[in-house]
Amino acid sequence: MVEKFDHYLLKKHPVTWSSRIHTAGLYGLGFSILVALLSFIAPNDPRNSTTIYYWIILISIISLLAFVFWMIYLLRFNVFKRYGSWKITDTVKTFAFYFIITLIIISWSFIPPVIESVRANVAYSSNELTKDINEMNIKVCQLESEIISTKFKRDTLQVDQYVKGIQRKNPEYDEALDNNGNVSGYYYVDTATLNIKVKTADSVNKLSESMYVIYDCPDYLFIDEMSTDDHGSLKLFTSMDLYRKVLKNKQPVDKENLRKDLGRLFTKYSRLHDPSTLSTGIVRRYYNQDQGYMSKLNEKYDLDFVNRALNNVTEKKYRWDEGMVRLSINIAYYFTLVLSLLVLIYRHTTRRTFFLSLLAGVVLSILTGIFIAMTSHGDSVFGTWIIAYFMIFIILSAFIFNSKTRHVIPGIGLNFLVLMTPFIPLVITSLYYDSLRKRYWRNNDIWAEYGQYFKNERFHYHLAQIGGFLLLILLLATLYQMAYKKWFSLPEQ
Amino acid sequence: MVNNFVSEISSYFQHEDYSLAIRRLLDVCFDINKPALIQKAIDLSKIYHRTVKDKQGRLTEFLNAANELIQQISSETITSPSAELLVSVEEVSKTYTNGNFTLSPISFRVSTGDILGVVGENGNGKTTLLRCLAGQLAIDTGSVHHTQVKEPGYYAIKHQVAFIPQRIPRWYGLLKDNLHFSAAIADVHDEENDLMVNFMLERLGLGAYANYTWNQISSGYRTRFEIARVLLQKPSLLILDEPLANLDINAQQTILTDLRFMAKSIKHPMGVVLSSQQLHEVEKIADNVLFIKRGSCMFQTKEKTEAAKSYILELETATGRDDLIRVLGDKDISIQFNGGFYTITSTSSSAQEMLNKLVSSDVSITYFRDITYSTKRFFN
Repeated sequence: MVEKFDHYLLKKHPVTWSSRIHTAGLYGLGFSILVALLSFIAPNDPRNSTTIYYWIILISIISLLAFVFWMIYLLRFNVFKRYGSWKITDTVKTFAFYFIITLIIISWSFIPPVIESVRANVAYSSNELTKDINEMNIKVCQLESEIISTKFKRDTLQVDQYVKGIQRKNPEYDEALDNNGNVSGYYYVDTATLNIKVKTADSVNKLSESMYVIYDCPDYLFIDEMSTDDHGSLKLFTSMDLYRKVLKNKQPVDKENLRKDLGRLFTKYSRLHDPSTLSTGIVRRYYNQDQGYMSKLNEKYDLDFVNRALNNVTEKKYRWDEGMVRLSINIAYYFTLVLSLLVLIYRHTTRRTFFLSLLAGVVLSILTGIFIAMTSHGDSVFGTWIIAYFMIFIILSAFIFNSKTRHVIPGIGLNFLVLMTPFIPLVITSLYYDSLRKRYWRNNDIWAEYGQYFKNERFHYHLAQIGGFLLLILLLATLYQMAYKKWFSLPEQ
Repeated sequence: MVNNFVSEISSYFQHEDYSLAIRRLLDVCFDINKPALIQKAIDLSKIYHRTVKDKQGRLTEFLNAANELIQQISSETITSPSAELLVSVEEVSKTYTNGNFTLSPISFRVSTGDILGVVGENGNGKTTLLRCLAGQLAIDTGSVHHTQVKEPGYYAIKHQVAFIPQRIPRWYGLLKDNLHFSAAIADVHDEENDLMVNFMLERLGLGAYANYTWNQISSGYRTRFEIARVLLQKPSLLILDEPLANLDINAQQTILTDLRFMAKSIKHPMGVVLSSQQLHEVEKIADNVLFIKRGSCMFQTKEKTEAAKSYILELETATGRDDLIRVLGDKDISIQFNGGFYTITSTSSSAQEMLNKLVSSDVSITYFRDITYSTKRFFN
């Protein structure tokens, strides 16, 4: 059936056929499924460190080989270079095919991280993690309440209109180290800092309108994985919660059963723990008695191990947050865009001009980098250089329409023009916001209003991304196609 | 007009020139432009190859099928189109940038159905002229005007002008797929694509090699496949640079004959320009021959029809030069020997008269050719 479809495309749609979208797409998707299956069945305990980097390296090598293999097949048939029947939509159509095939190949590297996250999410729910963390912390507090400190750190804050941020009153006298190593002191603060400190303090005592005493609870988060309660309905207990539940009014407890429960929980998350700890959770009985309670308990129960295992689980579970998804999409998009544009250029220009273009790109990058480094004018100078180069390449490409012979230089100019087009709106947006930022800091000094002033920045960058792509499509269908047709078919000198 | 073809083809069958008959039948069915007839001609060609060449099947089956097809085409009509100017070359010249060769201004015209031969010694500008004509090299002066190309620009010109270089670029994949691709990019799709590819395979005797790859065929068949490929793109002008170089003698004759028939096709007439060292073979089929020497066009058979200043005969014989002079008489005769054959030039006796004298005198003749009007005479 595949062969029949292949022949159908060959005879009916040679432009589509010569891109090999059907074979590359079929095998590409097939390989995606294979990678997904392998990622599912490969041994991968969510509690262990991630293996995605090995997967990514291996699959990247396979992707590179697949890309080269596809290019070798592409070399074989080229409607454009055979001066075949070439419609106005054919350049955009072939670019779309190259984009899809390249995207399929690039997407392979994303499959193992996704599968790893799926497996971690299936193995442990957020609420289960939160519940277990809370339980472990409570049990440790209950078992070790004799050695855990309950002394709160205390700071006195006084509002002073002449102070920016926070400033110690008497640095040489006000240091008072408590058992946990927290430094209590007397501080002058501005209003913004006072608000922040009051909001985050565990307890606040207002002495007057301008003077506050804030209290910070000692750290009782022996097992800490802050991300779990962002994703579930249960909340992680804070140190203050643990203090109120366990340490404020200490109750007698069944230590033997508590140790068993704790051991079970620790082993659940850190299976490399010695099985003998199952009954007690205790790893080491001997530790340095001069340490703080946190260090002592860390050594006693090997809490680092448990924390690390939990961290591995949550890192896999919550890997695909909004930021990571956006980053991954951008990486995939830009890699795909650049590679597919290079393929498109290669298919429309001579081999010599293509490789001279690559060489010119390398040389220009080196020279520009040296110049920028030596003149050190700041970030915006790079954007200015890009725009300048773009103008130069427009001028070089324009020569194609008046030329009677095919020259390399206009060909190189055209290649760079095509490659740079989708990025120009981004560069312009960057230059705009760069100048806006400089103007803001010259005229304003209020950090708090900065976010409001630039609240549309991200949206504008998104628009620039989309606009750049649409601009590329429009120009490919019109001007660039004409330019390539004209240039490639010109006689040589 | 069909009756002329039918008589011609019947004559070939009568004298058992089956290969030529089949090829002409294919041409006529192509010109009639009915897919069913073309398919029948293709099937008949396959029967021919099975029966006569591979010695499978019966000859009577083949002849009966041939007769049936001839009967069918007898009732058809085709109208021969008038010749149209394809390309006009006016005072075209070209100098390479390093200045070591210059093609002097040349002018000529090619119409549909014309075959233009370009002959000359190596390194005298034949390929340069052909590449300028094909739009591959920029010209310095003059103009090349392709009258049939309606869209402006070299892309449109190269879409309609096919150029086969001396060294044919390698093909990839199955040979038949390459042919399908060529037809498809010339907007020949679906069943018509299959039909035309099969037609071209049978027409050029390539059917047995359709599923081979480039490495599996000889250089002669590579030339034929390349011709098939460009013909499927339906060019109005076909330019071939030394197409006979890799062919055996029989294949050379076949290709030249086929090119002549294809150029004068009724359905798709085209102009053919070819360069070659095989002077006599080219002169037999060409309507016009350009002789190029050191970048200049020394002689054009079509444009400069001048009376012969002397009669020239090429002769291969065991008889010595003195005996030849004695037989022919030394008045107005000059005899040159190049180690292989004699070139006899006379200002008074025609080549026929010289030949008669030699035969009457029982001179044993191995080979002779009258080159009075051939460009061969300019090679000395």
